[in-house]
Amino acid sequence: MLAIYVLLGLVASSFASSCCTSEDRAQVQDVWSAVWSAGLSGRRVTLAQAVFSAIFEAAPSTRALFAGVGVDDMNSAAFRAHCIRVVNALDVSIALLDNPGVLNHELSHLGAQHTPRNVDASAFGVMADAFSSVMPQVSSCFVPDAWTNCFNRITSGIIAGM
Amino acid sequence: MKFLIIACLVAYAAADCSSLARLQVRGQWAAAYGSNGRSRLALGRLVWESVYANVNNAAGVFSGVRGDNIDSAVFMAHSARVLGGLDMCIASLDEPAILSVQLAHLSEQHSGRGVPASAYPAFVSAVVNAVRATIGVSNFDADSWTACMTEITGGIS
Repeated sequence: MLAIYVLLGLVASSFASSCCTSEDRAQVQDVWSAVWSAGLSGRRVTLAQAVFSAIFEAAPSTRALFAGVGVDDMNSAAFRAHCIRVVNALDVSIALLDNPGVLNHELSHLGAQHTPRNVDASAFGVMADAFSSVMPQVSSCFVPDAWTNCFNRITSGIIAGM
Repeated sequence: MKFLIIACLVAYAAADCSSLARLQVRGQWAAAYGSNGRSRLALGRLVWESVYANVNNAAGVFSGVRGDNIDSAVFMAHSARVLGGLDMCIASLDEPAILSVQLAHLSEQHSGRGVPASAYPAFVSAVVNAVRATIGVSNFDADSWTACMTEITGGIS
């Protein structure tokens, strides 16, 4: 439990201080497009299921948020489809890191989609940690700082829109 | 005679979103869509130019997302979402159970928005033409593309 608070604290402090620079963006886009397979959905599901498993392990109470999309059976078509939608939104956002004006509108749209769902802002910190633990397992050249800076750029935009 | 029979078989196969067509469409979409925001927005621009040329009052349908200016950041974010949704469906073409959940979700997002029925076939041909213009005409089978795209929009409209 203490570890979670420490991690949340670290994530919170990186929100404030670290910028997703153009070098960071390029690294994140490279890493992401190598992991992400645009022609296949299987890899996306595997990645997202691993992320959600890590989230539910770190913050079991968040599981209830996904009751409407079949979380009871994480292999159900409903939950796998939800996984694809989540990772797809991240894919769209990462690709838009080069177009900040367009990205900002996309993030406020995603924020508005989260508003009625009572998602706590801290859940995005848990999700950031989950991605940071899963990505190095599937990426051969993962750059943690660049990833964290740009991931937080995306989630802070979503939180601001909530 | 033999040639005619083969030609008929080919024509019949091409009119269907067959397993091979799904494979081809997925690979060609991946090449056209790519991973770069700039090229995705360029692909989207081709799609919307064509939709606007063929659907009456397209600007009105998209009035909530600056449909009056398809170069605005608000509309481009909308374009990124639509292409992102299409990307999900095409990537799941070989997984019917997931695809049908996804199409039901998208169908819910489209109902009550006053999208005219004619807009869906216009969108299909806009996407087919935009992909062809982006990846080139060689080995491009518009019939397979139209069949698979129509399967997707059929689940949404």
